[in-house]
Amino acid sequence: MRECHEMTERDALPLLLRGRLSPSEAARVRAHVATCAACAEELALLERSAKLFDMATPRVDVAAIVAKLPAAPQRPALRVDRGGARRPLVPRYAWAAAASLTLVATLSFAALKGRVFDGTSGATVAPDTATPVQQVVQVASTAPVALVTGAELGELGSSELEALLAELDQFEATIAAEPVSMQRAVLDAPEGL
Amino acid sequence: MPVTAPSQPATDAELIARWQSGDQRAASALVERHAPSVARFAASLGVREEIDELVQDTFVRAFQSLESFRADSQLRTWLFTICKRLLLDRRRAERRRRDVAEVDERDAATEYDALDVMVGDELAGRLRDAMGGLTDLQREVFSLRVNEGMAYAEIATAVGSTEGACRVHYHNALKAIKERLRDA
Repeated sequence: MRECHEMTERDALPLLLRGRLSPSEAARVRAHVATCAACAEELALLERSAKLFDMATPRVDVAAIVAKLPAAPQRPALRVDRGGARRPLVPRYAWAAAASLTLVATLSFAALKGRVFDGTSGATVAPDTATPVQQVVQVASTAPVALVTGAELGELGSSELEALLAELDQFEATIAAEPVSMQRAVLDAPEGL
Repeated sequence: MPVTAPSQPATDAELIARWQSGDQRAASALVERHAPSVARFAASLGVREEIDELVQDTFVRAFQSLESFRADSQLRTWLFTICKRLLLDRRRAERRRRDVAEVDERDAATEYDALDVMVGDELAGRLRDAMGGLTDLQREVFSLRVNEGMAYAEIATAVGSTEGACRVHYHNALKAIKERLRDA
């Protein structure tokens, strides 16, 4: 067998065989093979070698392999950027921002309603005589989340944090206990609300 | 009438992300795409029996540790690395077993015979013998270059060598095959 000394072209022959060259590179190597008997022979030899490996390789049962694989995990969808890195479709900070906005909007709405009802700006009504809406406003205005900022939260000790969590639990329970009377209060509210 | 471009097949990274989000069909697509290459690589490593089992174990191991797969390397190269590691583990275990058991004639046969397939013509038979005479590393590199069209850098990752050494192994393998064909 003859030998070609154009190493770049010779090195590219397996890649040409497997379609791993760009169209322009493939055209250049094909043009060389068309004029080089040694490379044409070598390309034919590589093709035969590849066929021999194919003949020696049994067909694999894809379904049997897939059946043995671990189950797909149930996680939030990921997006793949151009570099191949995987990131959540919705960034975590977006969820945190959405939750904060919802909380602020709820508290603001409740506070606004309370002012319209009792005609004052922030006046406190005795709990036993307050309407359900006024109770919500009072709870909202004394809610621990409204009093503690993110920066202060980091400075709290574990016992203070536990106390804060207990207050939060109480706050959530108060709101959850009110749905029926709340509806009644809204229905009874004066027009123009 | 507007002409719509044919949709590109999903990349490996996209399929991995889909599987990690709970889509089991993405796993089928990945296995379908890479299992034949892994099986061919196993054959080039000298595996003749139980290629199916080795390929299956390779995918199971890969999916169990997909978290550790770095997207900057090719999934296929990573699968080859796992496949080779599993095979070496098996051979080591086999050797240990042989050390304690009585050696019989079958166990002593260690020469490369994975390409002992029925071939249709004389040249194919000579080519098979020529490839059987290569060193293990020459055959692995030659197979990955010719069967998969892999770059030397990728081959180096798969077989645990360097890019330059893989280039030398490929050309030495090709030279040896040509010489054996000429001498036969």
